[in-house]
This record gives sequence, structure tokens and C-alpha cells, in this order.
Amino acid sequence: MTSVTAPQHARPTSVRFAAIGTTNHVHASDPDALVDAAAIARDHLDELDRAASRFRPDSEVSLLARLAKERRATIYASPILAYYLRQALRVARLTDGLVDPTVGAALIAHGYDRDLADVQSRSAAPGAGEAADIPGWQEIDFDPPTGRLSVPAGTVIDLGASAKAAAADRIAALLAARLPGGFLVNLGGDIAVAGELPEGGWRIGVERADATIAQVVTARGQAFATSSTQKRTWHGGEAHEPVRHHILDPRTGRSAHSPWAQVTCAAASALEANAASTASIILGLQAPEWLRDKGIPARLDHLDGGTTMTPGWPEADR
Amino acid sequence: MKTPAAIAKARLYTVTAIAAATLATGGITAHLAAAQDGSTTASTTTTTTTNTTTTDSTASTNSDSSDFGSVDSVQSSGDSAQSVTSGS
Repeated sequence: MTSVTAPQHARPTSVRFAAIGTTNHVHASDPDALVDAAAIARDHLDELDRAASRFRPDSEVSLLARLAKERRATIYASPILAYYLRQALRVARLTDGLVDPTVGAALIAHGYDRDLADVQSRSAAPGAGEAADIPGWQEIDFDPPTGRLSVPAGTVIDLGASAKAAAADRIAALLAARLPGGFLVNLGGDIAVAGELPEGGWRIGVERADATIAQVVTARGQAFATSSTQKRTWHGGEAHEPVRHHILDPRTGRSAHSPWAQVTCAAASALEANAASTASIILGLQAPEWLRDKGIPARLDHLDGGTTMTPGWPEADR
Repeated sequence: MKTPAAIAKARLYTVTAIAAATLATGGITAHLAAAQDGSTTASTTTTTTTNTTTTDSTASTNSDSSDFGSVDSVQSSGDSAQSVTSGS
């Protein structure tokens, strides 16, 4: 590493760290708040991972999956799992079930049964045959006041489609409540902001799968999320499905066949932005009209290179 | 909940990484260390004083609603990005 003498006033305003299977960034408008902000974010994500990771045998989600292997099972969820399950169920309602937290068993059958790096290192996904049944989010019996959570036999809860975005919202709010200044929390591309805005707002780049920036927009309270069919992919091993990705269509139990390479949405929260972007991948060509109906500003990048914007999203300038 | 010792360890990682970044950068964006699982890495610096302003939020939502919250239009920026949203 080349050492460069920094001027006295050079102070970092962001940190990057790995957690919950992705790369995360915390930006602070006040450099003095950065150390504590990062510690709070890491602590919260560690707690979330212990409760909700499908890939940790000691998580509550894994425990519930084992209990439900052959018959309906009930647990009392910890407060943090209860919080994130509520968010996942809200996403299911927002999307009319297109984004469903009961797709865990189908994801496993589809080959996403361990950390993504391990999945991608295989030459072909196992279990290329029938798609697993998806119990459906409405079959989850959950009582938030007590945390009582009951699921049908065969259910594997997967919070992958909502927890990262919900965590960005929650951490941003925590930071703004506890520390001075403003914060941008970016968890694997799901972005929430809270507290004081930097002059001109936060500048957000929309990144393509090849890591080039397609467009830069400003966040003045809006949250952003992008869903892609091009990044969390792995070998399918079948002629009709040589490549699979992680966005499952709950109507088929398989990777959504979508015309979109990626969809980026702005919304009132990262949870909502991610719900909209994920649902748009699944909806395919119906997505622009659905987004317009919901009032969601969005940029949809077609696999053929074309781009569609919904009202409220600016035309690209590059 | 995380133990006080674990929190202190996480904080130490962060302090160490940020100190390295402060010493090694001169007002340019710089990646200072390879990202490793479980470690915190300072990645960018801004050398100017950050001017902040408090404004009314442009987005509102009810966390239990079955409808999307209202959100203002997005504006283009002519500057470089501070953070990126990418597919995951």
C-alpha cells in the first residue's frame, strides 16, 4: 500500500464491511459519528443473521425448518425475528404474494441451499427435477404480540427478499435517532437515508451488472433498491434452464423468466423499493404499468439494452 | 444481544480501518484494504467540510400499511455517486 500524507482535515465519511452475505456501506455526514454508526450497524446485522439466516444451523429460521420438516411446527420468535417476519409479510401483501417468504424450500430445491459463493462454485445445481411446493405466505400463522409463529409442514422461511432492505431502513433510523448528522445505509444495494441531508442530497449511482454506472440520481429522503437477474446466478445444469437466479416466481417455483436485466425503484422505504423492484422482475412486461399504478418511480433495464422509466424517474443523461 | 466485548471488538476494527484511511488518503477516493469477511474497511474519504441541511422528508410510509407510501420524484445528479444501488 502506498502511503500518502493526508491533510489534517481529510477524514473518512464511509465504511465498508461484509455481513449477511453481502457488502455493506455506512455513510455519515458527520465524520465524528462514523465509528459509532458502523458499530451499531454491524451489531444489528449480527443479531439479524443469528435469527434469520437460512445458512446457519443455529438460527431460529433453521430451527423452525427442522421442526416443520414433517408436520406443522410452532415456535416463539425472538423480537428481532418477529420484526423482520412482519416486514416480510408486509412485502407479501404489498406485492399480492409475488414476493413470498415461504419460498425457502423451493430455493433450496432450485440449488440455492448454501452461501452464494459455494452455490456458484458448483458445475450444476442439484435437484434439477420438480420444483418444491411453496406453502404460501397466507399459511403462516403469526401473532406479533406474543411472537407465536406456526407454519405448515415443509415450510422453510426465507427472508432474503426483504430482510436486507428492512435492515437498511431500521439501521438508518437507529443511527439518526442516536447520533448527530445524516446517514446513508447501503446493504448490498438496498439504500435507506435518515437524519440531516447533505447539501444537494445523497448522490446514488445505478450500477449495472458489469459494475459500470448507468445513471446518478439524488436521494432527498427517498430509498432505493435494485433487483437483478444477472448477479446472484448459478449453473442450472439443464438445457432449458442453463442459468438460474435467486428471484423465484412463487407461481412456478423457478427462477422468474423476466425481460429485465435489472429494475431500480425509489420508494418511501428501502423495504418498499425492494418489494417493488423484486415484484417487477417477476411481473416481466407487466411491470411498468404495475409500477405506474403504485406511484413508484423506477428505471427498468431490458436484457436487450433498452431502458424504460416510469413517471418520477429522470431520463438517463449518459 | 451482542456482548460488550464483542461490541468493543467491532468498534476496534472500525477505528483501526478508519485510522488507516485517514493516514493513507489525500482527498481522493481510495480503497485501502481488501474487504474480508468480518472486518470493517474504510473505503472512501471526503476532505471538505460537509454542509448539511435538515429538510422535510420527501417520502412517507406506514410500516404496517398494505399500500406503498408516497414518494417524490427522483432528480438527476451531474456529480459522481457517493454510493451505488446494484442488483443483489
